[in-house]
Amino acid sequence: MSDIHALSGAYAVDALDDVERAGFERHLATCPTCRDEVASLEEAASLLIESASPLSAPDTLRERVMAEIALFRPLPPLTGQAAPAPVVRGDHGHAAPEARDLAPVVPLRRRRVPALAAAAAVVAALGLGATVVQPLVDRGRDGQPVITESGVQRVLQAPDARTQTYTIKGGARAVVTVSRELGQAVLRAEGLGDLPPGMVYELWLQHDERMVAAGFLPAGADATVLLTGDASTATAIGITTEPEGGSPQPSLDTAIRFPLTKV
Amino acid sequence: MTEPRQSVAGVSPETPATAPADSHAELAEHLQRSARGDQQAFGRLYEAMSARVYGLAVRVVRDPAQAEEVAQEAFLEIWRMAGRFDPERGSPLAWMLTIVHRKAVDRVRSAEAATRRDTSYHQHNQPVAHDATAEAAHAGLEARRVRAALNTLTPVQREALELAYFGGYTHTEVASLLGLPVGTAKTRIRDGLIRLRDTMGVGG
Repeated sequence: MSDIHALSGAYAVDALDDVERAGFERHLATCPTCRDEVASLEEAASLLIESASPLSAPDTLRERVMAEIALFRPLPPLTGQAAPAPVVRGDHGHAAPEARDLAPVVPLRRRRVPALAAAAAVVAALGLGATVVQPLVDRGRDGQPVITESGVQRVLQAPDARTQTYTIKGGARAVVTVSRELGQAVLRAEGLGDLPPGMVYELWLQHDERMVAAGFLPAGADATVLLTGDASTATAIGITTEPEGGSPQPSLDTAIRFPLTKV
Repeated sequence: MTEPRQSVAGVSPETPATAPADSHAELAEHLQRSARGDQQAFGRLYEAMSARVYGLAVRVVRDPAQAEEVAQEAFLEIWRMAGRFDPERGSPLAWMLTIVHRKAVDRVRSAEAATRRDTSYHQHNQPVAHDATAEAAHAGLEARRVRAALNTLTPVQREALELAYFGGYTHTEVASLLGLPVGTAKTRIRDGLIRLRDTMGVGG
């Protein structure tokens, strides 16, 4: 644990894997020394491109960029203490009851439903009042937080973002936000239990009958993760427990699956 | 704003020694205006940054078409997040390139499963013609200073840093590529960055 400071350099050049990155960002939230160091190392890293032979951007890029930015309003600045809690919008900016009561938890690929999935089937639908997802913005680095959360933010603020909340046995919850347009999904897991050493929660996107690995959740803590891979046509998101490093195929007996609403 | 240096490990907002073609102050000004929705200001920001943004994207993702997409995404994010840039915490250049780099690395890692990077590298590695103007703008004193600073790194530090930054590899992968014991590449990367930072006199 004391060694975690040593990750500052690797973090500054994005050389951490997803699990390490999430862990280090939690550390950053509480360690001003590391935040300062990361900031200074990012300054250093930003000089590296100067050492490369320069390329000019293709002409088409400028047009595309300028056309695209015209479609988006810049986000408001963060205003410190009373910053409005970022509300994950459901359909049209309502903070409210996207809270999808419970989605059926079904085993992947219609297999038998053993242990965890069976347990998950017991899931009670909590009447979740509102899907206000907490401080997604400010995690990690105070001052300039959004860099680290940017992919997440972009999904959460996408005009077509849809948020669904699923309750999992034992009080755990998963809040899934999908932007079909961006083709990306964000999962916020709350209260998933600790795993034995050497095991990780792996995420999956289901496309038809195929499960595609989509990253990992840091174990044991609440976490917000941008799934890797294309979510534009995914039909479900799955969470399984796998040996560290992940598995090529999901271990079905640990699967929890969250069906996504159609586009 | 203009304090020359903050005492602890703070980041000085202005680091004239390393200010690129456009000074940090100008870039910060463009960002500020962009945050208010000024598209012209963003256009100027684009002019000042496009070679670096695209150049970094290409170095990391290699495939020019994908690099262009990454650059576009990054610019959109810069536009949307402009109001959250805080000059107290770092230079505009570092803020923007951090966004670009993160996107490029995410792209290269998520693309990995589908196509091996090396394949696409060889397929798409038709040399993109260097643009003489951009070259001139960039390759001045600044580039020489950075190269000189990089030369003060040990070979392992430099290689680890470049594999991480331009290769988009994780420190664990870097360790494996360089035959280093697991867990030591992160230290090499950090040491290399610290040396680069201190030699160039940026960020603390």
